[in-house]
Amino acid sequence: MNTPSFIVKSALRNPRRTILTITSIAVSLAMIVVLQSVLKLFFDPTAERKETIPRIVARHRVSLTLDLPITYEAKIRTVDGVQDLTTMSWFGGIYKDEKLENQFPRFGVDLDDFFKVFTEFTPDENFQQALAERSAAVVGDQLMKRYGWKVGDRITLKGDIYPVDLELTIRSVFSGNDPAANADILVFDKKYLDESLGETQRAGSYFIMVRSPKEVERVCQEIEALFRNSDAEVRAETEKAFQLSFVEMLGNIKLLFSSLISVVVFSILLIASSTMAMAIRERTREIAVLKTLGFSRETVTLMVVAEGMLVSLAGGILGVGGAWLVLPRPPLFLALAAFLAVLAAIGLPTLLLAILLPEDETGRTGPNSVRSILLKYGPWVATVLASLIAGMVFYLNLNTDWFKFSGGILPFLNVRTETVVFGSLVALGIGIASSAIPAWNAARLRVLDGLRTIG
Amino acid sequence: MEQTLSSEQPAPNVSSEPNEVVAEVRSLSKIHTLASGQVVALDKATLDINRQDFLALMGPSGSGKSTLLYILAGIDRATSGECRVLGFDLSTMNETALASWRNRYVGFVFQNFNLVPVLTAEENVELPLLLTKLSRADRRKQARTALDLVGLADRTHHTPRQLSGGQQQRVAIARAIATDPDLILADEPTGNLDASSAEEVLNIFKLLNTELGKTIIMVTHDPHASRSAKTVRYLEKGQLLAPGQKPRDW
Repeated sequence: MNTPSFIVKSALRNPRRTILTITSIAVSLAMIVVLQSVLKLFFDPTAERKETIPRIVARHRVSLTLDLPITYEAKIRTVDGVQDLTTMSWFGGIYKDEKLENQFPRFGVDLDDFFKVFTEFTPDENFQQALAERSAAVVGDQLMKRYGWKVGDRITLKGDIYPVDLELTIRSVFSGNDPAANADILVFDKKYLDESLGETQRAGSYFIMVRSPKEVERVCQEIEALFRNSDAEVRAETEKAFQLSFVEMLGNIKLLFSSLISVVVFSILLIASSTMAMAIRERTREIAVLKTLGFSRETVTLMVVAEGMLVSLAGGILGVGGAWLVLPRPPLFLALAAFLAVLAAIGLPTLLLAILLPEDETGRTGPNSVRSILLKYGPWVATVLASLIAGMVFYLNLNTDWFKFSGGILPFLNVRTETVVFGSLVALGIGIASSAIPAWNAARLRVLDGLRTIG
Repeated sequence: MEQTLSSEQPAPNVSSEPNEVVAEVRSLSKIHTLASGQVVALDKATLDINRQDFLALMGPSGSGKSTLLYILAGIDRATSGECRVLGFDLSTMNETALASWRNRYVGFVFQNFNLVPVLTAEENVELPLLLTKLSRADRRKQARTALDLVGLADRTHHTPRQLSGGQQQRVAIARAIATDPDLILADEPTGNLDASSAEEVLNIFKLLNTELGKTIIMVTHDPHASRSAKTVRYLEKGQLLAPGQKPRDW
């Protein structure tokens, strides 16, 4: 036995209570991770990538729901610093049905210019064929994977905003140039929409590629100035600001989600604190005995805090892992899953074997018994193997398509590394905070008072 | 997890001569201040305990024998007087230094065993060894040696619930001797045991005293238990009676 194993045994002395606490923490943390991912999606959409792309959005000054005249395109192109632009018209429509799993972004765009503006995507060799066919759809590879589509498949989008159904044929596929680029949208030539409706539609907005990031602010100002005092004044802003204003239409989502996260954290903190307080109070006499044996108050404090953190982190790992199961997996998570899976695959049968071994000298009780050897070398072998396999999965995920995953219940969400760190820190914080008072009480406990405790 | 004694309390050069005094108690008093007034638990006790002695402290309930034992263990503090044990002035040591001192020099046996229920016999005995520099293998070896000494080598993987009261107390004794302490303190070690188990426990104490040279201080009510000791001292109403003197009702 060593100190960590003593702490684990102490934490598991009331298995039912410990498992229930771990489950409560896990469920709460899964919820926190989902909420945090939604927040990140709305308020910090792949910031690290988009900050480096000097792309701006020109839209109607009054509302996102109002369109801009198509004639603006030519005028915007005259502004110094504008490199390329494409119209982006949200078609909406219904694919199959209105269920969440059948929702994905669909835009009518200037197909000729789309990939000059969205430089993080690269179309395949069939793109020229798509340009030649009016009803062609060009689809992101993640979306193709999610729905199992193939080039040549026909897709019907039933119009809801526009009074027309679009019959599209997938002619080309595009992919992201880096892992942060989510190729999960469908685009088609806006002229096909115009022809289907029998009239040229206005543009929902213009996405503009600027020559350099330094010119973004000036170009925004010049575009706005160009249409000032017109029937349709323009608001030009960075892509990030545009997405934020879109979200703001929904109300103060950030406050709502942040409040929800705070409430969940506070509730789970109360549950964990109550459990820890109960667990330590039941062991008052035992703590006094430990002190009699020579455990200092500092050691006792650390042991209680470690126990709290163990329970909390176990819940944290399960919770973050649970959230990850329903959200697309970044490489780090996949590696973590592989690590845990290998550990479990080796650890559980080993533990089972150690339990089932005959209680004799060679089986369990001898110093060189099978059990003793299993428990001595098993954890090391499992950890090394799990690390190797996790590293391999991580490498393959970054460098091949083998494990790239696109799907899940909430396919548009990503669990980012910072969300994982946030969830882990919350778990760690709950562990420390919930055990702080019991640890303080244990440290202050007078040995004599503890020994006189009944029970 | 290793702890060291306070630098203000260097380890004394303790010899192992039988007549060397290991515990010096001078005018030791313990007074509890309650709302209803003061209660004198120990009244100016003075006592010398020699190395390799087996001392039984006897007396009626409330006579102060356990109070004296707990002060000697550094678990309780005296209100006044001096208490030097194994060369350490306990009154000047802080809680951390006292804990470390106990781990290194003192083994304690309780009346109701106080084993950790989720640990096996071997793990219970290993507990105080977690605070030492010993390797895992050495800790296990030492724990097994201690269990072997108390006759429980075949019960290493049993939890306290799977052991009888007498066996549990023997595990507790193994735990007390696992660190090879100079001094063993026992508070009513046979109080919860049947006659046969009590006899086994007393025999182990006698063995530890005579064969291994351990100094033992045992608090007991039981005249039979006290007969195992080399020296018996009585307390009455907080006062340590003179050698050979007994309380009036005994």
